[in-house]
Amino acid sequence: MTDAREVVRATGLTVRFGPTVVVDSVSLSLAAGECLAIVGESGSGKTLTARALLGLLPDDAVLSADELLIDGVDVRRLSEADWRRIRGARVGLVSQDALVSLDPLRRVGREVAEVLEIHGDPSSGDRMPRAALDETVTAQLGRVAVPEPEERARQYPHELSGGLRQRALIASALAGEPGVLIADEPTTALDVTVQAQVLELLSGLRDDGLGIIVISHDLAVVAGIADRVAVMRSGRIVEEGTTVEVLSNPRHPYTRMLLAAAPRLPATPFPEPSFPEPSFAEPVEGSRPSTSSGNGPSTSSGNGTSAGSGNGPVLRATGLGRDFRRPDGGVRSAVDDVSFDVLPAAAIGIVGESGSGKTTLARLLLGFDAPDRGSVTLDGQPWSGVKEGRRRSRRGDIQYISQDPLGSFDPRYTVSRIVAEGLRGGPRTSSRSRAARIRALLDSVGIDSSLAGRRPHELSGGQRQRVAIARAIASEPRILVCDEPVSALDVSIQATIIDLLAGLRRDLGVALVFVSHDLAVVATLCDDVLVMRDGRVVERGAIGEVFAHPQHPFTKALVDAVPRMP
Amino acid sequence: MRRRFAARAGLIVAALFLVAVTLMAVAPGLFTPLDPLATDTDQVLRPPGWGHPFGTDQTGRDMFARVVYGASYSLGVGAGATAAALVIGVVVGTLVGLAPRVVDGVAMRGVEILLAFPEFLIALFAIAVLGPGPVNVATAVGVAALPAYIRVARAETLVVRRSGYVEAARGLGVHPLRVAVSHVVPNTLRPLGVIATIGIGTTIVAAAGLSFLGLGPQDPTPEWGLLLSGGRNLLAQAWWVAFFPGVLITGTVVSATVVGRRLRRAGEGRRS
Repeated sequence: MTDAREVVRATGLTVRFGPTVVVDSVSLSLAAGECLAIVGESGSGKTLTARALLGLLPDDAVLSADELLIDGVDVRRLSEADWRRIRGARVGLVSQDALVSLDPLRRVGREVAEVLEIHGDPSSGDRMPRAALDETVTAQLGRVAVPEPEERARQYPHELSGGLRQRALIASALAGEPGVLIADEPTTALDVTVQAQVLELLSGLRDDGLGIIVISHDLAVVAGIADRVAVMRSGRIVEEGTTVEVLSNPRHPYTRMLLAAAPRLPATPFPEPSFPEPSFAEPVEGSRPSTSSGNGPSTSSGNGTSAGSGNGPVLRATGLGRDFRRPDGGVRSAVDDVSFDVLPAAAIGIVGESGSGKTTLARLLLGFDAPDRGSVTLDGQPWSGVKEGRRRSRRGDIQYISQDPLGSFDPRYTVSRIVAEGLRGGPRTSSRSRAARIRALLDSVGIDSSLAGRRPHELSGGQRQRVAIARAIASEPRILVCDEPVSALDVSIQATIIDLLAGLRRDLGVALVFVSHDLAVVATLCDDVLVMRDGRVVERGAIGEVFAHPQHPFTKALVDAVPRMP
Repeated sequence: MRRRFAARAGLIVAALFLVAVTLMAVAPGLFTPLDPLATDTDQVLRPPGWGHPFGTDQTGRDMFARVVYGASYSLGVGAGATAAALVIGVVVGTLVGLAPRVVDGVAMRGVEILLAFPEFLIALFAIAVLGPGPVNVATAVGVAALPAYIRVARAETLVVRRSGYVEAARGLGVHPLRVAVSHVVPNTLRPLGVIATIGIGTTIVAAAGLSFLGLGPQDPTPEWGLLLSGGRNLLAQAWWVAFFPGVLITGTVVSATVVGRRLRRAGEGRRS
């Protein structure tokens, strides 16, 4: 690969905002047919590095570099007009969210054609006649494996699925036949099975001679595609090497921390006893402790459980269904015939891709939404279909942790007031004992009491999620429903929050219902898993069992698609 | 950089002007020792100069004193009417926003009918019903401003009602009344407070307009709109009688708008 033509070369690349250095003398090079991954957490400067290579830095950023060559052109002193001739023709950009990057009022084909109209025929630079243009657009869409490219070219972005949109975006980035493609978190917004397809597409393009720089927060994603990895932290590259080197023998402590923090599926095949039966839950006639085995609740698991009894399920869903009206007047079942039990202190993962109904299910369990069919019982007492006024006093028993803690906080409230709202009894308890209780709660989630006076926007993402957890456990709930609680966080923070949740389950005996698209996260935290697709549970069982020997084709695809470290 | 400096200078001038006008309203004695009602037949229609910085009117009353004392009427009506419209608007808007859809629909169609008429026309209509007088002017202006506040308060309520933190409070078992008081109302107040700052300017103009038409306080009360109207027929001989009240009205309205817009931008910055 070393003798291949060099398409990007940067030495001493530095980006400043006023006195603040955000990218600090970064050096990198990329050859044609090579894929370099720049990996780092939020704020590491990886995106700004990529923008610098495209001349797309914010206005107040100051760029300096000893060398900055794109496809052999020195781009350090380029005017905006010169940059426009480079972008699209020599270097292309694919960003995270295709729905935002594609013009909603423009057909997908126009998006690709525009590049060709601006830069002309990639081989000659001449203006392209209409017929040739259409032909090239179709060819480009076909090249990124868009099925029925002629038809897709006439559709609008919102008519395409997320994966097709991302492909269309890649097609438009490649239409000018650039030598370099910069992909900024190209698969982060995609479901795991679609992500695998897009990664496969990118590595195919690389094999055809394209130089690719992938920016990602996820080491596992880049492991499968990158030839070399550069790990960035605080604006510097702390480690660089071939992918195998960096992942198997990381030298820098930060890289080691990132690798250790990344949740992963245990290597397949699972050793059979890797997930012992949880000792805290009394198995209910059968080997699977928390989920009933059939599609309805097993009759053996105690139809006559008395309220609040220690061994009965904390939460039981029976034949839950929820329908939504489609714009065309039809009815779509977001959740259909879902049944399961959650035993005290059990942890159940609910896994599925976007649109599988997992969030709707969580809302039904929480009583935020009423089921059209079936019922939910909490501690043996009816929970769904009960009037909100009678349900209110029991809400402390079931608590909720959302993906977006910032949105779940009143922006005017301080941390201690946020947590205080979760305490039972409201303002009745004396203020001194309340203050002590709030301190204890914050302490138990690892929030220093010096932060108690801060407002939510003054906290980091991880701190916010800790505060949300402190509020949720303030009422000493029996069960926590977590909807993607870590998917918005950096991996290192993700790991600490998962540890915290696991610790709460152990120490407080609180049961967890953990909704996630991320199989690896679910595998580290839960005993049992429900795999959902199109509103139905397609597979269920102990984690080790399901992931090692998936029965349903969808589960198989899901497990296979998880990016793995070599 | 230069533009930012100019904007900042404008903001400071506007803020200082508002402070000065407010001081006039609260403590007019600080600005002038003269009595705004004292006539002096030797000093009729004197142009601005020593002793009478804003000149005198046709009965020899000092225009500076009249303008200074007039601030309390104009600002009082403007602030009072705006505050009343704000409070009633928040209460009604929040209730409508939290009410079932049928109530919301009916109430909002009513508000939209009111919004279809120019504010000044509604104020005139209210005066026609209530009869002239200073208190009725404030009421009329407040009624005219009310629909806009109801609409914004309702819109904000709908946003806050669907927010994550209201759902979180619900999940914590907080009573809906408590949610309304501790989350919904405070969070709708912030944008409304900003609108009200701009609204004070509009209200002052509307109140001055009604007084100008003779529907508000009567002579010899030194109200800005009335002063303006009194100077109207003298424009040819004594421009200063109408000019200075006009400057004060314009200055107050512009300043309130400048400060209000700045507050709005600050509020937006904090929200995002």
